[in-house]
Amino acid sequence: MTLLSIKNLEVQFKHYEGITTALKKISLDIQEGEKVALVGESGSGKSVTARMILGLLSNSNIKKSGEIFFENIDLLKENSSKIKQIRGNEISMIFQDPVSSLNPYFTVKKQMLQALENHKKDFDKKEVEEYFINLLRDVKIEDPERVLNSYAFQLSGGMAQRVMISMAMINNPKLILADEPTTALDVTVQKKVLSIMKDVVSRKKMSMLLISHNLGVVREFADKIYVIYQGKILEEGSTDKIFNSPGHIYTQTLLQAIPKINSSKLPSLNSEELDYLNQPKFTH
Amino acid sequence: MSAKLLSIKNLYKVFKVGLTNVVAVDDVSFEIEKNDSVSIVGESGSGKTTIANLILGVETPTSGSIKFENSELDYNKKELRKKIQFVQQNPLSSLNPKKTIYQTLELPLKIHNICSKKEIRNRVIELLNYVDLDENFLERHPYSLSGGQRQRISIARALACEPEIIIFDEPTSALDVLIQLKILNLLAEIKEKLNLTYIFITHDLAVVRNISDKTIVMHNGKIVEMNKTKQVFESPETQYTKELIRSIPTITDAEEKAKP
Repeated sequence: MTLLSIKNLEVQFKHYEGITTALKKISLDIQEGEKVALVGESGSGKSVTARMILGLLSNSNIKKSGEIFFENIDLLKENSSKIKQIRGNEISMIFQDPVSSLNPYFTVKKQMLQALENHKKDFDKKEVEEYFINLLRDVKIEDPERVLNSYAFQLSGGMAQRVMISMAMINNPKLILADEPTTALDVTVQKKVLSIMKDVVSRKKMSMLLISHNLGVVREFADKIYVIYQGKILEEGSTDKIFNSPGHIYTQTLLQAIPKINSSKLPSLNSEELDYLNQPKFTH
Repeated sequence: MSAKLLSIKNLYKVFKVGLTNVVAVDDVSFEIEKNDSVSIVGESGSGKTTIANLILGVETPTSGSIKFENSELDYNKKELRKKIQFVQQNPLSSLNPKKTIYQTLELPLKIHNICSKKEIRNRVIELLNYVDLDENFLERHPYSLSGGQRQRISIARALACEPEIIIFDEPTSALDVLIQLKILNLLAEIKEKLNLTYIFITHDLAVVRNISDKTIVMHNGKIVEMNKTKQVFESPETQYTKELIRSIPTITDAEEKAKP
């Protein structure tokens, strides 16, 4: 069943130089239990998409049209108190820099408690600690008791990001949005965090939208991929199709341009600076 | 026999943090020959940037020696200082936002008396041409340039001093892949043209494989492996290097098979 369905979403920012169209009528579907990736370069609109889903972008200078259906509720039409109920409860988010997303003044436990209290009133204070420890064990933290009583600065980057992942799962959300969750991490740590994230999301049958510029990361993680460029989705298809038979010239160029570890020479491109936007969208 | 351009011997750098000592660079020795393209790789905290800072004279070694063309590096000598230049990761913060591109590029020419006052303008334009930009950029400011253009200006500024060695600290990690490829190709072209020696400090191993002849792998301040790049990637000797290469996210099955 379709969990999230974005239809013809258009977002425009008004600023002193005029209007920037950040998203040009994009459509995107996430099924229950599906891991979907949105890949694109900087400025392509990937983070705007995530923020629109969470209702984090709303002020008078932002013009939006289209629909974002989450289980038959149009998030764009709901009032802010309803969105607040959904945000952090049914949809949660993991950000890029784990150390700065954690509050430096409070212990992990205090912050996890806060995430829980915001959405649930009746829980047993004694059982809660046990629950947190289990959540931290889910992301393969070996000494959850210590981590629970630590402050952000006492955790390494990889550890902090694992805390963020377990924190995103506190209210058992149906959908988790992850915006460049491993970009700030070293490659060895990145590999570990990716596999932990993949494992725990699959086990709990949650859906995930991974936002990334790194095609290698996306290939390791996602079932389905959307390629976005300057606010427009240029290609969509299964991970296998996107990597083994990319249909859009932009995707092809991107894949070509990435240096490979089995070649000692920089790649050369077949095409130079094409007008990618003018090529029709490719759907596998 | 090719000449040793830079030789580093038993280099140590210890930082005092509170009451503890952190050994950032721990007995590091290596040599770089003229025209080499060497990459220093490692995870964050491995000491690769500290090595760059030591070579540049930003930090002074706790002990050990750094020789440039057989003489100990002395940063009081301007002549020596200009021969090793630096390109940083984030061009927006490494370029002065208040200065025009012309002012940015003329400064090293003036400091090191590289050409006469009359020639400065022509020389600046020549530098811009090296990085595929033209004189239309002279009066612009960094904020009005794209990321790729800004990085080109940083490269032009490094070239202004007529250096022998350029150290690049993550030169393309702030750039998109298409721009990255252009910059890397440009660097290869300039190296050929001006007979330069490159040292890359980076964590992007796929880039390393494509641009450098030699690779130095660092971990916790120590060199764990040092060899020809091909060797390091195809038959790594240490467990750490193997693990590092295995962790690279790849985009083709052929790459996955090529992992050790």
